[in-house]
Amino acid sequence: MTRRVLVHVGTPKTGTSYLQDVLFRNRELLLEHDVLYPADRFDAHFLAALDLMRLPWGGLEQEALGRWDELAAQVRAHHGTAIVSHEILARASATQAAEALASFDEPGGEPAEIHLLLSGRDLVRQVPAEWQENVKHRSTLTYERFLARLRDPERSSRIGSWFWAVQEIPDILDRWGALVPPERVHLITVPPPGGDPDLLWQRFSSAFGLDGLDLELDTTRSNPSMGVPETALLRRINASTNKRVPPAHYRTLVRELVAHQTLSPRRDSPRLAVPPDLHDWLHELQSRWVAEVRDRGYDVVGDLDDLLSQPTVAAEDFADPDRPDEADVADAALATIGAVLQEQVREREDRAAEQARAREVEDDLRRQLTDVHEALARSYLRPSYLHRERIVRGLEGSRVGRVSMRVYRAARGRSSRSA
Amino acid sequence: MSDPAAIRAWSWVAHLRDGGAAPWTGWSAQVGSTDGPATTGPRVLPGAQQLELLRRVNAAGDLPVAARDRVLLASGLDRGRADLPLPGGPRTSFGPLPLDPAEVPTDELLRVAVLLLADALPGAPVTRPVTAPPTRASRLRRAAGGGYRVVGDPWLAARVREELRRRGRPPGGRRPRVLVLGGSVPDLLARTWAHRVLHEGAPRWPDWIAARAGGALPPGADVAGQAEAWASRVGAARVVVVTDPAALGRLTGVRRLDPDTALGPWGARGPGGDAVELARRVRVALAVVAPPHEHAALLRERLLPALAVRSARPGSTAPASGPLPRVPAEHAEWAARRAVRQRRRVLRAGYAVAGDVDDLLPGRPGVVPDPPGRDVPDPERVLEIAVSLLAQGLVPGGGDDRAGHGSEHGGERA
Repeated sequence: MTRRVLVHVGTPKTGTSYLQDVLFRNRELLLEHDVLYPADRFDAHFLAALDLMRLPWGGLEQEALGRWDELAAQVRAHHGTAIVSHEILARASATQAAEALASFDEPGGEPAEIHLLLSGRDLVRQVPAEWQENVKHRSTLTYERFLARLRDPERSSRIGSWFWAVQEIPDILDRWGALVPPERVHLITVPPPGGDPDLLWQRFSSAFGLDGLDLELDTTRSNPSMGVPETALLRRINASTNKRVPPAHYRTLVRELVAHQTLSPRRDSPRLAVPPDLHDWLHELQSRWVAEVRDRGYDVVGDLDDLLSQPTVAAEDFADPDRPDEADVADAALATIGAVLQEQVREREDRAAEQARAREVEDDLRRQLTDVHEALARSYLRPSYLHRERIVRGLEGSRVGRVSMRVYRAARGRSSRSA
Repeated sequence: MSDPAAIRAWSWVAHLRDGGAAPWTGWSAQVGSTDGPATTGPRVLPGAQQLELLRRVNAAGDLPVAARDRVLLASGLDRGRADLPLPGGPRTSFGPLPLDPAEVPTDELLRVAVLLLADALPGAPVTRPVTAPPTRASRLRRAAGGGYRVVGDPWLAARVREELRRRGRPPGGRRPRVLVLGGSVPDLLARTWAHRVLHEGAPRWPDWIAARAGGALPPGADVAGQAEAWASRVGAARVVVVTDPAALGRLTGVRRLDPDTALGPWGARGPGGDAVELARRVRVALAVVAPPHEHAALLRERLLPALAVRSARPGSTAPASGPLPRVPAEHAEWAARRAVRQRRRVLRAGYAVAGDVDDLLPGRPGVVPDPPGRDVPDPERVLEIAVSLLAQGLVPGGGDDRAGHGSEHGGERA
């Protein structure tokens, strides 16, 4: 049987979390069909990707040490189809990509049939999504400055370098596809908004060869986006609290509680969009990508025209997150304060309940101790005990008596002295 | 059909793998060169960063081809620029703009170099200070109240303790005399930073000093504070503030304790700011190489000895790997004020002073001034040191154990 390895390398914000969650939740069913998704959590390949690319990531790199080798070993040991998927793999250099693909083969063994998969979306949706993702990771950069860094042809900033490394589809395919025949390179396009919500999954399913499997598709895993005033508020929160909130608390309090649970569900606010004056530039850029991909003869799952940027809002409706409606921001801030207070109340109630439970245990122990004391006192009051106590006290008053007591205790098999 | 640009690029890669150091600009492929990779070595064209780093390493030393391949296959640490294509190399319509390797920014080359060094450390030779059992004289002195403790300047105190342990004169004993090593506040700050980098880790020198400026001196540089703490335990009469390291031999009862020769290649002065900055960057890179509890030992027992070898090499242009980092002008007044206050506290408490108490002040004779305009750490010099370490064999799997030889203060190899 041919060993096949499906390597899905991005791009971010193309439904990858959903895909990985479906693969993870159905991994036992998949294995029954000889498809291996080697993961102990839905995004397990994130750590492996960090390890491959030698990327520090707020302390997580320590957990990542050796993870790529572990993943590659699991892939090598499987004789059917194995799936590796994480969107930050799009950032790998050509050398790292070659190393990764080589790691799926035993030295001197039969090489695996490698398939490279890349999911892509139009830049009009990717650009604001990436800025928002930065803000959700403590960035204080304004939208304007973020866009200026994307437009820098040198890509010398961390922002510009990262964005294009994980978004420029022909370049990603150059790096990852250099050693893979074009017919084994599969480009999955994300459908434009407003269409069939299942279409993206159908494309993933087709590209990964999962059609016909009865997979559980209901998942709560999603990466919800925030609106303009909400993102503006979060950026301001970062600017004022970054130095005081350690990374671990930021993850739970700010990203989870504030961004995901409180601000993202607010759907009435204006959506983030690309400024109208950038549409032509982005459209032209992606037209060149589409032409290049078409020429290379890759397998396209979906429609390449999906990648051509179309404005998501009318020019007159564009809301600038650097100059948001302050009333909307205040409204979002009130919701945030409410959520944080509610969390405080919940924590205090939990703590109070915990303390009440601890008090109950303490009271119970105290009751048991009192019972023991009372039982002891009762036994002390028995005439036979009082008689024995008098004898012992008498014996311990003389040397001969003490020696007799030691002999008696040794004979009884008890070496400890009486209380 | 062969692509002449690819032939040119791959022939330059072959030249570098052969140990060549010719620059890319002006390079022309020899007849018979191929437009693809060799059977061994990189399978895809390395970035301009890796190629330029190897060119510099080749110019500085002679590595086996496997070690040269390690340089070409190396990653850069963290999020920097992507691997850059060569101008005039194979056609690339997408990706980052090509850049002449000679123009790759120093920080980009350092990203690759420090990760290579970090990868090399777990396999590098280990040098640990030798400890001799206490001599009879030492035991008698300690029992008779003639013991000592060495505190103060953290860098110097650690070296002095190591040297005395090597001679069978460990610190301690009943009611010891406490030698508080002092110096000018700017130098103490520089050596405290070096000590922090090598032990628990520290930010860049400008950030580290900026975070302290305006406040109290950090404990390592707070000579008066340390003296007071010890005086409360052993009495002020048993505390000696030492500003002249040459007096240490007399104070500890050890003959010929010449700080310039006995305390390693850096003597009493400590390692230069460029070398410490390299160690700091390597420590950051160790995050993706080894668990945190191993970082300090990897730096102290493997990187530092390799740096010492480099500094001690005959003809080394930078015997101490550069000057100490200078307190930036905007914080100089704070450092000077603290120095004056420190001297006043020492005098007021009435401790014995071995040396001149005015040596606690900045700008005294004996403190080598930085060359004018020289700002440290200087990334160019940091890179120069990194390249020389790689060229002397400190490359992952390099198998060349030249690093670590010749430790001046009697290190032992584990």
